[in-house]
Amino acid sequence: MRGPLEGVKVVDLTTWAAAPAACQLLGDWGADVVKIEHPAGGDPARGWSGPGWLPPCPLFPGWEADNRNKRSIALDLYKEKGRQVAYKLVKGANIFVSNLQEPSLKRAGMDYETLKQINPKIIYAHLTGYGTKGPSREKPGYDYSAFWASSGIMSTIGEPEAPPAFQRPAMGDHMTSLAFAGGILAALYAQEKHGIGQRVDTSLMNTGMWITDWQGQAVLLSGQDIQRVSRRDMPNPMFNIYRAKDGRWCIFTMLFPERFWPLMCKALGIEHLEHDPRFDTTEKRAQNKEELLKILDEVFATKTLEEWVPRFDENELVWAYVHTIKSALEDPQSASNDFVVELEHPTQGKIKSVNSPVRFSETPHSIRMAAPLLGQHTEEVLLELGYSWEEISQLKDEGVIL
Amino acid sequence: MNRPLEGIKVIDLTTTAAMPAACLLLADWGAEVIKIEHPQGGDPGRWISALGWLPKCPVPSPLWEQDNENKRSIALDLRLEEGRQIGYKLIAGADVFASNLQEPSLKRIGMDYPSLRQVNPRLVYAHLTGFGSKGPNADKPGYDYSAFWASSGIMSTMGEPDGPPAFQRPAMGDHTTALAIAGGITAALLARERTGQGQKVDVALMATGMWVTSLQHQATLLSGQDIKRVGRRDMINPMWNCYRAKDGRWVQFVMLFPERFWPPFCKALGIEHLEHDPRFDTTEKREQNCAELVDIIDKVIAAKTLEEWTPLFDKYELVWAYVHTIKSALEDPQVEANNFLVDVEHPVVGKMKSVNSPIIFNETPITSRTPAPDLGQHSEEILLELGYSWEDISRFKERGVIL
Repeated sequence: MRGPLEGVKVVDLTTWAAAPAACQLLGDWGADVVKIEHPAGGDPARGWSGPGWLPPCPLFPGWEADNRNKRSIALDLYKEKGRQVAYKLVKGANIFVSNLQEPSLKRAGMDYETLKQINPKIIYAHLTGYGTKGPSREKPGYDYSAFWASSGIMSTIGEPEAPPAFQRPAMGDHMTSLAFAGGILAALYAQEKHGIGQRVDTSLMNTGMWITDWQGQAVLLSGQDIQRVSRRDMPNPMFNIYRAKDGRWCIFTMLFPERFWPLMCKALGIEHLEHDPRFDTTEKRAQNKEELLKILDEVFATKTLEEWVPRFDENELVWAYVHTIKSALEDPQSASNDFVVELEHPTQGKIKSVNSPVRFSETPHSIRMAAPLLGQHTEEVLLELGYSWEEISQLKDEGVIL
Repeated sequence: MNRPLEGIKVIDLTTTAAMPAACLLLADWGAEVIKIEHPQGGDPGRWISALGWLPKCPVPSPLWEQDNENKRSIALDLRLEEGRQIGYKLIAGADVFASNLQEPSLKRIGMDYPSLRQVNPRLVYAHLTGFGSKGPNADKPGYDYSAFWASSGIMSTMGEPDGPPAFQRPAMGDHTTALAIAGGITAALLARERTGQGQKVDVALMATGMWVTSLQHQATLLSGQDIKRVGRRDMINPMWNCYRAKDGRWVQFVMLFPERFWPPFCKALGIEHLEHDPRFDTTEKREQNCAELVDIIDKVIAAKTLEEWTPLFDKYELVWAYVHTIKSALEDPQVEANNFLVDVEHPVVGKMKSVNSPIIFNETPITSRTPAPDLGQHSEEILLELGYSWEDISRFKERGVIL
């Protein structure tokens, strides 16, 4: 088997990151994903290099990250014949996914009411920025705005005196795509069990709120808003970040301060502070946190992180590197657990890509191909739908396909 | 027809946030979730107040409330033979088992995958680790601050370049990972429809963190170069940045097509004189002079309150959003219009609101919601369903098997 969803067919009419990444997860899990793209340029993610955010790459990283395990058909849905090809695809599919805005979908004849007529069992999955109702329902939503800023997350991240912290490109999109993929599959389960199709909706804003709903729940219960937290405010010095001599940061997450204080003192070689009356209880460490942080910052800065590591581990501290993206990829855990996979790119040869985050013991997922070139599989898909070579060349002549 | 996973039974042997939240999603989608908790204190999530991070609440743990709605609780000591047998009886009739206990603990109580597979070959066995099930950190305890946020590389990329890396918020990485787990479990249930076989589903906080920022990782894999933090004054496109208004509130602009948006942006801000200024009149020049331009725009935006700016932004169809605080997000009209919140009747505090699941199903909608249970609230009810008598139940109570 190529994954738990082998045999499931997905029609992907998506752009940018969130909905494409959801379809990619379904593809990684074994579904056959056919991506419909406009012949003129296709998905705009194909040309987005992340200027200012990402280093220059030999390929467009967003496109490659979110479109592997898909076949691309370049098809003009604004032409009647193109639309008929799409309807044929939808007729044989289990799932249709789009993030185009409602008016565009109606214009292209790809709205729920229409596709339901064509395939009553279809799972029609739609993503919006802000939900399908309310004053912002047709507002274009990106994850920086609809997910990160509108959910309240952005206001809570960063040092209190600094501006609110940006997220990273496509981060909120990917978080949303996990919700989206799960919801689509729950609906597919209902389809298999009870034979019903339906519409599945999610939004960037709701998903952002759900991801930080511990914050939301606290506000709903207390009526008070959430404040940003500085590393200077951390009442438990064993839950904080510190910078070593070489400039690298590490994070401690020891939630049980009584148990870990003696060990932390030993690891850092500050045994004299263990029974110091300023710091010898959880309460006193909280009261004197500034003084303690100053001491600890000085201590950490005396050794490189590599010098510290054996001492942390000897004393069984709960800690982690604050990895950079590169050092995360080089962490031995990544290789041991196949967090990164290798695949064959149509023009670049072998490239590496981040693996799906879920492992199945009996129906392991599979990474079968890199993100496709625009229209790479147009002919193959049309042949599968029963079109002849003659019809295919006619469609080409008419500009319906690429 | 009710909810999409109606009829699915889940045994939830989970603690803290990520796994409980994954089971909550399954419950929202219609599964029946029974949470097994130790009679002494139960899930430590019941007592996490996260003071310092969150305001004081009228319940011991707002976190517990959020992640354990729609579940029933059985207080059961799995280390006692009789308790374990009850556990196995629950598993025998279940579809899904979910746990984040560490492998050695699961073995000790006989709840490891090989044991439960014997009990129920159709079982989908879901397990969460911090750093993956192999490698030097396989048994290292992992929280989302460390395993998800710091170890994936996300943390190093967040915050202003000259400041420390930025913290995530409590349970943020956990909830993200919960979405991956719920999706994986559902995929395995679908596979079972075809193969008749259950299987083990593994998810790691670190892998999920890497996947959600895989655009960064992909760029590093392709270029060999690491990812840098980006400050506000580094933003090469001033229409993709955040600015602070006179009233102290922040606004985020996300206009990815600078040529198209520069003229309306200048108009909305009343800086038409800059539209053709030779320092800023092309995308390239705005990039070269970005720090200077951000400084100018900072002063302009600071001249009006956000309420004064809003009609201007909308008039020129800018792509923008409030940088909501958590409270102002909850008060946004979108929240009410789309039911981003739901009402729950809580046994202690009465009517309360809670954040809704992020997925809306039109034919199998999520209907009711019950609050997070008291420890062992449903022990007797669940044992009666399993066929135990009241006599058995009082014997179990005396021996401390159940609460």
